[in-house]
Amino acid sequence: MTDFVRVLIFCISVILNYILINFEIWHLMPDIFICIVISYAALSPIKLPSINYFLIFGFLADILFLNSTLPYILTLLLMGLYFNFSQRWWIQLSLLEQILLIFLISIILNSLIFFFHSSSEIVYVRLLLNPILNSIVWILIFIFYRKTWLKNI
Amino acid sequence: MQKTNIPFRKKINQTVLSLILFVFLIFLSNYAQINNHSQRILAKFFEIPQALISEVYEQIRTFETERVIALEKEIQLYQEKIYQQNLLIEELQNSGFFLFEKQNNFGEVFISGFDEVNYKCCKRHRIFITPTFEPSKKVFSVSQGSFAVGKSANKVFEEYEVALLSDPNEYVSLKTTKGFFCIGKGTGNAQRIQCKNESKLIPFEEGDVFYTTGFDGVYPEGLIVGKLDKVVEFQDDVFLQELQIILFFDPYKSISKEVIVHD
Repeated sequence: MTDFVRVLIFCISVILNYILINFEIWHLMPDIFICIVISYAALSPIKLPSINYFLIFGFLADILFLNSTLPYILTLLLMGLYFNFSQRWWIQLSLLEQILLIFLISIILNSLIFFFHSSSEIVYVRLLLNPILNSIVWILIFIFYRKTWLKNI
Repeated sequence: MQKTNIPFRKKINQTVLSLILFVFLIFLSNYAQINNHSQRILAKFFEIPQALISEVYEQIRTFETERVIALEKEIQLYQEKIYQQNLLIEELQNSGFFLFEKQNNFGEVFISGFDEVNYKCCKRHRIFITPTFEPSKKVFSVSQGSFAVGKSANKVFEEYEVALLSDPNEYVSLKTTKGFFCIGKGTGNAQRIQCKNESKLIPFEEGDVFYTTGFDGVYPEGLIVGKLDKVVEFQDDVFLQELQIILFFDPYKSISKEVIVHD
């Protein structure tokens, strides 16, 4: 996956996120930016971007959609550190471990959004729903890509 | 497929570097208010395809029938007139004994944008105005005719961000014609503010109109704010009441309409 493709994916995710917010379904959908990052781990498990890429990605998501620069930048920094420094590749973890980690990171992200961006009912609903939705997205990715990973492993 | 183990020292170095970048980016965004600017750029960016689509749509329709277009434009004109007339009627109905001077001393100022995204999702109620002059005060109030709109928050490029009264961080000093005073606070819900009554000395009823007192030093006295919609009683505190007020100003109906800056 080249840098150009990554920039393109980011632009598309910004457009999608804007549309979701405008149609008032943002809180009922999985988090696009988290999904993009976990799909990197699924599509090119060995060539993951550097930590700084994750930081810039989070920074841009924060400044484009939130009132304070912290929730995405911190969450993606944690994800970047994990992906780069963990002992095993992401796809080598069990499904349960993967889901637990996605659940945890989604809770961290949405709690930060709730405390630093807006404590509206919509964000509260998102805090409850989003971890489940993100996990479902990962389960779908897992089902579709499991065979490809098994070949590589 | 075994992951190559990164040496501990390298891990520490990379973590420290990324933390420095992390702190720098946060400092930069707070110092230069990048969030406000970038969100406005994004909103403007999405206005371009919207305008293009509507223009193409308009051209196709013109090709189909010009008569219909002419009639629709006439309807639009009438709708604009009706809107202005309604505003005037509402103003006359609700002006009470407060007479407000509606002169715009600083030339025409129009609403140039509305932050619909944050209005819908995140209790951040903002519109944007483009004054043709540089206001002398950093914080000034804005009204549409005699109806209070909000007060200036930030300058984003050439536009001024105006925090609406319904924004949860906004306060305004209010009064009724019967002499009831309170401090109104935005609720974060569309066109809604609330104020607390702890005395119960002065009577009020649903439908009472609230005006600005001018005590806060931002809003001039006599601007029409809203109507009392509901009074909420509290069981644990019999002296306390919450007054829910519906604002007259509707941001959805007010795009590109003229406003007054009270500098």
